[in-house]
Amino acid sequence: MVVLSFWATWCIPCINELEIINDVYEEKQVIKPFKFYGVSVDDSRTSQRVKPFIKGKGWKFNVLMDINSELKRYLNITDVPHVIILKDNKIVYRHTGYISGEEENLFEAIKNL
Amino acid sequence: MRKKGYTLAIIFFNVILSANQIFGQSLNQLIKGNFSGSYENYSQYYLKDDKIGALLPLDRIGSNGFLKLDYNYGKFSAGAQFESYLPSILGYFPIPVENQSKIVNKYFKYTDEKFSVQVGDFYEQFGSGLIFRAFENRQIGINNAVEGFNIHVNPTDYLRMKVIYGRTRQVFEYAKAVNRGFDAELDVNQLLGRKNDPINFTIGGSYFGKYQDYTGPVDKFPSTVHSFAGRVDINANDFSLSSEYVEKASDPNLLNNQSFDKGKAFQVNGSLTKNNFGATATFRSVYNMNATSDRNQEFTSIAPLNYVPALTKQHDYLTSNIYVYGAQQKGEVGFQADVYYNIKAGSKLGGKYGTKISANYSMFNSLKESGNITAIGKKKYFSDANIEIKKKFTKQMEMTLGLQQIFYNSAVIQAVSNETVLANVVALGGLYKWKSKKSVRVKLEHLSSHTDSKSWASGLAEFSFSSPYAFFVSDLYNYGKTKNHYYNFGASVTKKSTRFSLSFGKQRAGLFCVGGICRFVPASYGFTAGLTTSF
Repeated sequence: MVVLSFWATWCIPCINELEIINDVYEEKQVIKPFKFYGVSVDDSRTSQRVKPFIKGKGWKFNVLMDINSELKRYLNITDVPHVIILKDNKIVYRHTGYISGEEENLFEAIKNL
Repeated sequence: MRKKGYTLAIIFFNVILSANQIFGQSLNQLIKGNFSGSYENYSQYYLKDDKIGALLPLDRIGSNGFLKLDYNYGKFSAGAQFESYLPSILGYFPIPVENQSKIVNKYFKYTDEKFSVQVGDFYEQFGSGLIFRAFENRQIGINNAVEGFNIHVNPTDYLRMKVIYGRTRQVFEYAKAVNRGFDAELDVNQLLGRKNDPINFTIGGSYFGKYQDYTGPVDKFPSTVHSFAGRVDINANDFSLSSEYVEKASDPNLLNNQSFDKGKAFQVNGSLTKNNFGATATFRSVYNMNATSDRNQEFTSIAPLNYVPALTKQHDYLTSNIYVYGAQQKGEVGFQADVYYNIKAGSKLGGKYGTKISANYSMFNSLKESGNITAIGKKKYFSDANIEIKKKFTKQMEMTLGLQQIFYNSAVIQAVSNETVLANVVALGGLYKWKSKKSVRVKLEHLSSHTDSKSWASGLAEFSFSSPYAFFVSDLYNYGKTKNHYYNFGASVTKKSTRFSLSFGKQRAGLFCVGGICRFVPASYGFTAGLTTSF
């Protein structure tokens, strides 16, 4: 199972979502291990900020770069934040936007899938 | 004769049968493929407001719709996008598009391990995009996809090459110029068999050429414009350094006042990272870098060929977004630096949950003289010094404090007035969660300035107490001069990958910048509805 969370350094709700996930990341991995990637859609205007940004925030998960939004377009994502859970080569969960508390639905889905 | 006819009939019949079998099999296989897509709609209903300058367009409504469909089967994929403007949202296109719907961006692609071919409309980027970038940004109304072909070849594990050819999309047509490009990137460590070295080097080079027929009177007018770029990237665990230099041959066009000068751009970026600390700085100097796919094009947002964004920080403040910088492609030099620091949870200064600091500074000036990108000029265009501190006080509450000082040269950036603006912004925000999925986010801001529209104050509150619904209310008040209230309130509902939002209020006229690209948005007053879904 792979969890992809699409974000960007200029997207405040994305950062809020990933901060919360980061805060509980290690304890959630103990409950049920899952592969998690933050996929940044920062383009060449802000892509050089990504690594210093995540280091400066102390984020523990892996981050991938999608500089010309190829993966975002391929997965038909219109806005960030957008989270997708992949299992057995299928998309089994997806959610757009982030409101405080939404991460609980994500962890619930990870636990049950 | 009859026997021949009979034989022919048999052969014909067999061919049909086989075709049917093949077709039948293909149909079976096609069904095993995968359909996916997305739909996005953004609509507005306009009302008049003379005080803020909100005029009524001929149709009281504006509606932009995008339907994207894709099909994948094994190594093959194909798709198309259907766009409709009934008519386009106010300010979206420089010249409004009236009631038009069309299929655009259709493509067919074959992807293999070392090789891929895309025929039809494609998006692509060479290096940082200074020489060539085809992309889509719906929020700002940019779609300069190229129609032609795009071939990627990775013959070895250290060499990646791209070849492109085609014409750039221009709203619902294609621009007159024919583009061709080539890009190669070499992974030096992989080539030398030293992939596990602590420092990794990558070098790349690009060529981009466009040809547009010229039938005018000027002697020796270049109908073909060649551009070249070279880049170097150095990556290590704790630091990285990357740079790119681009040179564009003589490209006289409407946007650069028919200048025969060469276009030049140089960009260098360095960053340092350690646990809980990150710093990055980018320096860029550009001259005459307007690259357009139609030399008679008067708008920078229609059919551009490259990407020269404003290297400034995008803020989440209602007030400071009044003064946003637009990159001066005809000539500017400047830099941007960011520092991120995480004061760890449990430390004395960090508090129980930690404190995060981010500081940013950007500054852009004129070039000292035309054609020379190595000397900084005296005319200041823009600067932004800002710091943001975020502290979580309890499991339920966190606060953010932001301080900013902006210098904005209106004469250069907007060509509106001869004023310069020095604005100081203070922003205080808080998030309070009183129960699971029940929270409120508040932000108060103040902008002080002695010139232009003088001082502003704003307040914003977002509530979510009944997921999947969220509500917001905000006001941006120009108490220093016009006494206009730009209020907005609305709600949204989200389920899985579908989101619907509805809001009502007033939008200020001004530069609306997303992703470093700006367009001028006129004042508007009325309802806005948005719908997005992915399937």
